[in-house]
Amino acid sequence: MKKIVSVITVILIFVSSLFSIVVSAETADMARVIKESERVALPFEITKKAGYSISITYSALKGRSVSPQIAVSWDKPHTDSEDEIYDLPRTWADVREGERFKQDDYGNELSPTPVEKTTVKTVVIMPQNEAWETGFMLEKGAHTLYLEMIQEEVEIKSVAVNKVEAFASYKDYIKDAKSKHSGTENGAQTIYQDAELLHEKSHLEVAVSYDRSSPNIHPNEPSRIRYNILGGSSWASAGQWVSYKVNVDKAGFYKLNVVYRQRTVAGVDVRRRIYVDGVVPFEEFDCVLFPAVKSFVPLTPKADNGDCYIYLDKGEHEIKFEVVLDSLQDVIGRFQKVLKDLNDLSSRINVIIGEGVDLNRDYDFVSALPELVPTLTESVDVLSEIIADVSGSSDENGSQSARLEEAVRLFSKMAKRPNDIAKQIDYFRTQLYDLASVLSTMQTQPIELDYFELIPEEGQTSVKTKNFFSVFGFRAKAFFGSFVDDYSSMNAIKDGEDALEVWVSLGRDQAQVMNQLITDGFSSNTGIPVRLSLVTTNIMTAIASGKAPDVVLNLGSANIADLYYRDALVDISKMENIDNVLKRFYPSSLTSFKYNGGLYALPQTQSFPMMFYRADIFKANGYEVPKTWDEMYALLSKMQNNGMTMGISISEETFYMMLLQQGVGLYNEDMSATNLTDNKAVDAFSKWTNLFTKYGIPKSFDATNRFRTGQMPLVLNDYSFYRTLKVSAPEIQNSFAMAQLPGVKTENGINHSSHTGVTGAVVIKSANDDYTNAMKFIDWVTSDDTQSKYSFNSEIRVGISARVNTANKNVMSTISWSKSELDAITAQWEQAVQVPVSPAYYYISRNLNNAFRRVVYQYEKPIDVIYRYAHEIDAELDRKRTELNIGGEK
Amino acid sequence: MKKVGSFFRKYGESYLMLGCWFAFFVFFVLIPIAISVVISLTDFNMLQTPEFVGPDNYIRLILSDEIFVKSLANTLLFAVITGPVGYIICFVMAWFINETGKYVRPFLTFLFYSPTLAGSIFVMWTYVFSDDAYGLLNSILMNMGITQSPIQWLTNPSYNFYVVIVVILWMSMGTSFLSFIAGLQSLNKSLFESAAIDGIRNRWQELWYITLPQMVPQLLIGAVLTISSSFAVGSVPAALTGNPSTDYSTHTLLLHITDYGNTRLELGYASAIAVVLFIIMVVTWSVINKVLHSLGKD
Repeated sequence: MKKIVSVITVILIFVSSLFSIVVSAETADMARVIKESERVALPFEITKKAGYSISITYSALKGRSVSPQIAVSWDKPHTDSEDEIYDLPRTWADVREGERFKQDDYGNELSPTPVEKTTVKTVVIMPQNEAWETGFMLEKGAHTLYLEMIQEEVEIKSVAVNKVEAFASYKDYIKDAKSKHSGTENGAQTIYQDAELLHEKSHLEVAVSYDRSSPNIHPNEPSRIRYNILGGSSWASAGQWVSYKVNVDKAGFYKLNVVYRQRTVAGVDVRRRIYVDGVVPFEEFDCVLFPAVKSFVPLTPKADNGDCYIYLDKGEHEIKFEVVLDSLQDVIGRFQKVLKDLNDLSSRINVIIGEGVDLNRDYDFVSALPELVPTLTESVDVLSEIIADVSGSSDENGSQSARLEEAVRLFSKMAKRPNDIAKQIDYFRTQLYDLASVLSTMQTQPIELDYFELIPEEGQTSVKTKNFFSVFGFRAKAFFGSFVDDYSSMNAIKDGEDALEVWVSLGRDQAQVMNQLITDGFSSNTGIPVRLSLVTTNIMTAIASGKAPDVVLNLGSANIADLYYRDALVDISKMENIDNVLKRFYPSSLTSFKYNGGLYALPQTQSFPMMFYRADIFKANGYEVPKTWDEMYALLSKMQNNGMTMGISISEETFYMMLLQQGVGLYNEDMSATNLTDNKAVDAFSKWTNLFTKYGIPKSFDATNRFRTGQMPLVLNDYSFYRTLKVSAPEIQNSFAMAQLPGVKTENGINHSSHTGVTGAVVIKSANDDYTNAMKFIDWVTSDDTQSKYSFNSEIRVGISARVNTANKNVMSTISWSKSELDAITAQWEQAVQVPVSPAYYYISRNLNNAFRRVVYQYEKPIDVIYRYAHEIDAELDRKRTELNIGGEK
Repeated sequence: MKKVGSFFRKYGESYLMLGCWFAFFVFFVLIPIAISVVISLTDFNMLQTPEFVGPDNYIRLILSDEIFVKSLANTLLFAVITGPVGYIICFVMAWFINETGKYVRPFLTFLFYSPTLAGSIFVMWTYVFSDDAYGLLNSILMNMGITQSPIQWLTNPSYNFYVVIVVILWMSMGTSFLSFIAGLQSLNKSLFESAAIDGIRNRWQELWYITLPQMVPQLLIGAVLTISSSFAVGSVPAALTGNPSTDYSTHTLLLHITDYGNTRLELGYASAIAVVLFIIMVVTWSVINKVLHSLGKD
């Protein structure tokens, strides 16, 4: 284990003049805003060769909820090296009601809403590579510091460059403190602090959660939700911190007793740096290791011979816990490099092998790839070193080493017998995934905190552990409580009461967010009580049996059409203020909600496909991002030459895209027949099927996996694929991008259109003819304010996987997209077109699939096939229109 | 009046006990069937008031619904192939297992019954027959060099029918299998002895003249279960090949009912199909009943 020699602290900034650095006046106090992607160069005069740290004092400007990011580099502008990018986190605080959190009608605590605080903070920047300990090594002379905002904007107050100095050891600290202070005052009490009641935090995702499993988690109730712990897998990346304010009545020496649990990553010690009043008091607090444990246990940081005490005088103090990687940074850096080399190697092997492996062929890898064996041998060496490094404290039960050893075994076998690589290529790819996931686990430092205490000298912990019987009683109460509690209704309005009945089929967390918004934002303002229920049953059967609600949220457009064709929905086009309401949406989202001059729903979510591509692979191979289909086809043949391919879904949505880009709709003007026999439609159909016959794109594939491995560096997929990648593919976080779909050149530029899927809020017809409240409600639900609060709250509660694909165009820009992502999404959104929903909608997709399969599997001629199926579809559409009396008498 | 009173004193308890099940039968079997017959004579879209249309649905069903004919053919094919084959496999397996010792028998019974026990475990076959090049069967065939590109087992109409048959046969060790084992256990041993004395020459004669006639009740139960399950094939092809399958290649009557009931929301028409399916099942069952009762009679 390397000794921690030095780290600079926040306080140094104020005494920076003491150091032997000359800081030019304008940079020390600049107080200026740096905008997104703006670059600033600051000259510094260094008088002595040494390791330096950079302290940036800043205040984040109110913006979206993402952390601002800055790139820092010496003497050359930032290029695309990832270890130059740092977070300048915002400051958040949780809103509480009194001591604790707000409760719902049943006495369950509701998760607190975070609010942003504009405060001035200082971040100390050290290199994120093997020089993590020594600092930026600078020669004597003039240097330029480049700062570039990667994301969001901040106001930089000052920038200081300080020499890296060693920390005091605990021994020196305590000697110094003992000599200055007389010891602990009489009557000093143990100070208790719940971890969920934090003062400030750096990132939204660092959030409270609840665990009802034991009365030993404080506080707790058997069948009510108490948000009683902080953190978990969301408090795991370097730089995320949480701070607490504690009141000390009697000055003296206190030791810190932290009750924590770490069961997210098996067998791994996680690291936290502890600040007391903004300062790391001694080197033992610089990186405290918390070993993995299955249940909550107390831990007191230790020095050589016993617990560490800190001196606290009377008054308020701040204790802060920050995630640090420390010595792991070096390991991670080496790991990243070797993984990158191996991934490059893998794609070069792919070029030789092509899409399918021929086991009977001699590929002669050694002469085709002279670097193959050296790369493999080197990776074996580096990985073995890494195994040695982590198999100490950071990986106790060896789960990570075991996975690394498996990879090492394979690579050395491949290096020894390169001619057998073809046989192992699948296993090789799997191992690369696995290495990537080991790497991302290594970077995560999750911990859950229950509470911490400050125990004075000779003091005792204030918390008693409950015995077996009270634990048993607690569990029994929780078990029986589960029979009594109502899980489907979100609030305590009784069945008979006169309230607006709203059904929603969402995740429980999202429904809770919605319920909270309704209580705070709707019912309290309008006085209309709302009973929100989580329902997954078919709305059709509910209406047939007379149990229908007043309003249904998030209903798909096909379901909505089924209902209005059967006269079950209320026409909302006469709603108050409807013109202003409709301004919230793109016209494309309303297409399928209009029928017979009426409007039957307000859009809530909207989804459409985007083009996802691997920027790193594109760069390495010199590919251009295609804008038209002609460029797509050209790129496809290049990719296929390099053993890669594209991912395009065989679903009918691809056909709709082709069709709409030809400028043809699926139906004719009055929706009485399809346009499928139109020349352009036949052309679109051939293009769709050609992708899978002529161009040989795989018909079925796992988009996420093949995109990760780089076998498919370009995928057309719904834009929610972004969420999937963010959650499940951490290793390519910064190497993929979104762009507009490829289009067709027309006189007015390129037509990028595609089909868009919409869900909406509807009002169900009922016996009493008064729908004012219901209309008010759906107006409120789709409003800018509600939608942005809803998306913000669900994302912080559930994580990025719950990011809302809102249909409200004003809200999209408030969601945490980066600027380039937002631009791409908006551009595609503007061109999205919705294929209307006819009463025979089910017959379209079914027969298009049949037609597709006839062409692709049985090699029939596209034009014959589409004519035959078009006839069937039109016949069903005709029949359905007669059945439902649409379009007058026939 | 007196007569009625004494009748109830005498048989009241029995009728009370019977009454429970009778009520269930009436409410959950008879009435739904009757409602279904009534609805089948209407045009009903689930939300608006049904409209009486007479036999129109039946006329359309028989004269103009090509998919009905296709699904009827599929259902009969499934029933003819999987019904008797499954039934025979069931019996033969039960017979074999019955010959094993008392420790092995429960184990083997459990093993063969487990696919049915585990409910919708058959979806694991979607992995075996996956369309992707990484699907189990496709990857084996491609690795062995037998095929060059993945075969669309589940969506290509040339293959998916056979895939469904394989999976249904795999699942055929159902409740009838258990009743066969129970029947074989309860055979009267003395009959075998006297038959041996009377001159039974081989196991086949023993099976035909001694075993089977004793097992008619179990065989009957088995037949009823097999028929109802082979006519009610639907969830397996729907889960494996999609609903509806490519060009309706594995569409069955049951799927046709759900298609009209759930997707097209034409409940009148769906009921008409259900009534037809009901009639077919009743007719088939009475034929089988006759055949089984003639077992062992030359």
